[in-house]
Amino acid sequence: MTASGAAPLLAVEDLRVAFGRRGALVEAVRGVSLTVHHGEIVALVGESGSGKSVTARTLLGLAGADARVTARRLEFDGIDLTRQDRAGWRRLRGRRIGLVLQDALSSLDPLRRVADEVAEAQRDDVSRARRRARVLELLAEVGLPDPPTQARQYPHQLSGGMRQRALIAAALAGAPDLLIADEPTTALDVIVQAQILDLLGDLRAAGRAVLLISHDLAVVSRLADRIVVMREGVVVESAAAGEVLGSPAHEYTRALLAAVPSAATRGRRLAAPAAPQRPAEVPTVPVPVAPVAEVPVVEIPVADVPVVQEPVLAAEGLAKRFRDPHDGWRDAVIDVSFELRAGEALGLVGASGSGKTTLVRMLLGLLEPDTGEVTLDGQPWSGVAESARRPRRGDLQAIFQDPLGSFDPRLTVGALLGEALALAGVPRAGRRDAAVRRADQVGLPAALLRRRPAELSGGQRQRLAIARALIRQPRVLVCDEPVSSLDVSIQAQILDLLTDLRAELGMTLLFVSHDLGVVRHLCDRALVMHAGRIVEAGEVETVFTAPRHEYTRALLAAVPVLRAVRPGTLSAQLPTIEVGR
Amino acid sequence: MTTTASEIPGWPGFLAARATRSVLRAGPGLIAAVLLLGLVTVAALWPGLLARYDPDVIDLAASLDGPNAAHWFGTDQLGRDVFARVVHGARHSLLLGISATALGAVGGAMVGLAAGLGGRLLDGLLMRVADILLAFPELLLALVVISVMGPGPVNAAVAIGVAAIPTYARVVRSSALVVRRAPYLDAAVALGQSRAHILFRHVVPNTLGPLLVLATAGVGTATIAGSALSFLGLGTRPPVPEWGAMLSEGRNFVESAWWIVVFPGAAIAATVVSVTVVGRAARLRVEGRPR
Repeated sequence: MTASGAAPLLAVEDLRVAFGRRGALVEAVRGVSLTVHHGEIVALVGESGSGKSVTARTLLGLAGADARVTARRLEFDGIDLTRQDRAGWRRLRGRRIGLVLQDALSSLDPLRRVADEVAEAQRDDVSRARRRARVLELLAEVGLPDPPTQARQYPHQLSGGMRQRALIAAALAGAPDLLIADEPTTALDVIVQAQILDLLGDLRAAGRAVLLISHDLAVVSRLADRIVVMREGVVVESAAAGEVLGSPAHEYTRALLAAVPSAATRGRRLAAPAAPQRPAEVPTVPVPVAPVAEVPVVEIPVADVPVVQEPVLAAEGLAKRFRDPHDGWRDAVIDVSFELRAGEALGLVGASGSGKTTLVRMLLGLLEPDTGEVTLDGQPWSGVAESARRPRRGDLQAIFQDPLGSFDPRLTVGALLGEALALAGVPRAGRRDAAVRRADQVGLPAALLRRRPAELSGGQRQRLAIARALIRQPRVLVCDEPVSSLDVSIQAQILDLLTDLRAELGMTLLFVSHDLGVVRHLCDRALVMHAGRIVEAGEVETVFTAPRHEYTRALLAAVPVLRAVRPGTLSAQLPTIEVGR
Repeated sequence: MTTTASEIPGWPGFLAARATRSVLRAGPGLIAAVLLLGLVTVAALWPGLLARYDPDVIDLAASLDGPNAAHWFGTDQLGRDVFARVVHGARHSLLLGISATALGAVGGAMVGLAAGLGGRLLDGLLMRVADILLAFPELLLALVVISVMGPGPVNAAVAIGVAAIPTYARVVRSSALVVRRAPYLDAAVALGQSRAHILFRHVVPNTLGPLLVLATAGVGTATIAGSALSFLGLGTRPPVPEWGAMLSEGRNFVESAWWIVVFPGAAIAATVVSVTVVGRAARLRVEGRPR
């Protein structure tokens, strides 16, 4: 596959990118070297702030006006990328090097039809009719089901997966030799993700080179020929995929691999103890990265929480439909019944758009069901006035998907905790101390109490959300996608925290996620939701090892699993089913 | 990274955000604006500190003198010191602008909150009325109010304030519509907060943030409107040294004695520009710096 003898298509040696002015220069990329050959997929893996996206942008001359780029060698097909002017970059971008970004909706012009978007990137020397035919060819090549229709549509009329395909088609329109894909599947659910990854695999088979940028080792593991792991602007490991995944040489890679939740991680901690802190600012003088302190992946048995077979929260025949501007009514949730038993951790799994969030809002009493009933401790919870629910709210608390959005942006961390403490009946005088204790319980330093949520990191925000939810000592904690916006190592810390708190406080957990690995790691039972219905329910191991419903099987087949040996095409293994949006 | 227009938060959109950024970059401009506003404030509160002469003392012997060492801005047709009149006029002009803005902002907040948080019917009714009023220029609305209430400085302030209500109400309503769907309100309900707590602690403060900033910049517009009404003889009247009234008085001499109109006019322009610059900087602070 890799033409090891041939000259590489892309050769980067000691690439450095710094931002800012003299005095406050921050090096985002500090000496990155990598090569990409024809017909090869190289994955650039790292967490937020690792410099992987800056590296990718630099390869297209898009690092920004205030970026200082230096490299010992930065060559694409023999062309020196450090010496390109505007015209030079224009000749390269799109035609030799294509770029696919994460967010297909904002990358596509909302006012232009798909065909125009794809046609724009084509070479100018082709006739209009030829160009039109080529657009349809490209749309078919990326696997859009009905190219003539989709060519006429606007981005908002396409599903997330179709948009991403259209974006890839636009990137391929100029027939680039190298395609740079920056987190191309992060916003997609697993089934669509599997299809997009297969598409990238097809491109490789056609002889194109792909530089795939991702934070997700599992996604990368099924596709990449070689993996480059980045951290804080430095390449910590770079080798063939099988080597990196099978016998990682660097501690950081090992910690990353260990942090991915799955069935195998059940009952053990995900985060390496005392994860090294990322420095706030990198000094101007490049400092050799200190070898990460030896962080052995310790197996700490997590206490088993006894599950009492007694429903706390129960849903009976819940249904909700919304008015759809296009086709009348849309059923978000259809006839959902289940019980949440005291002490258990119940996972609710489903793709985006499957109705999870609508269901959660009904369970939390934020949305009235059209039909059906929610009961809390056997007492009606839905269909009653909020004033009747309010005294019992302390029993049922929630943490939300978007931790930042769930805090009043004007209030400081201390004030946010203070509000909840006031509700819990803590007198004003004791609130400050109590807030410090609560923050400490979830690992937030007291110094952060004066900050506003916007000034916290993603992990700190979710810790704050958990601290606030726990103040009223709930018996049930509903977590709606609490870790989906976090880096894998931060996700690991939050999952460990939830596990600890659950063991300590004996809480019942309803855990909503699109990530099956997370659910399998944490939960005792699982519900699988698809197109508004619960299609499967049962013990986690049963659901995941012997799924009965075809959707569950499709979902499981599509889940990227860490593996050293790359398997064949995944879509081929998928049963053909109708996948709703 | 690249920053596109759609990522910049804030209501008046892309152009204003770009202007805001350029103002921010032009640091000296902001500093100059703050200094000038400080000077205007001193003039409004303690005019005696800046001006030696009494603005109302008539000295016909020294009428229509050009700027000189004794009279920096010259004298007008009655021999009054123009510099003293400009300094003393700050109080009248600013008072008019600030009180009119306060009235408009408070009225707009009430109407906007009612429309944004009340039912669909109330919203529709209030906003259709606002649509009709917005179809007329604010100054024309103010003239209508004056024609009903009669001229005078207090009535002028009321007229300008009332005329500004629809604009402020629109801003408050749209911000209330955003805030009422904010996830943190769901979070507050789920936490078990009472309706009153959610309304007064979360909804109202978050809704009024944009209004405060808009009102800061609005003082400039209202000051101009006040001066315009005084110029027409509908606001403060001679011999009160209000900038607009001074323009009106001096316009007959503009060919022979330019200083009578140029200095009050420059005072209006400089004050309004400074208020606007500071207002935009304030908005930037509130809304956060675009990444």
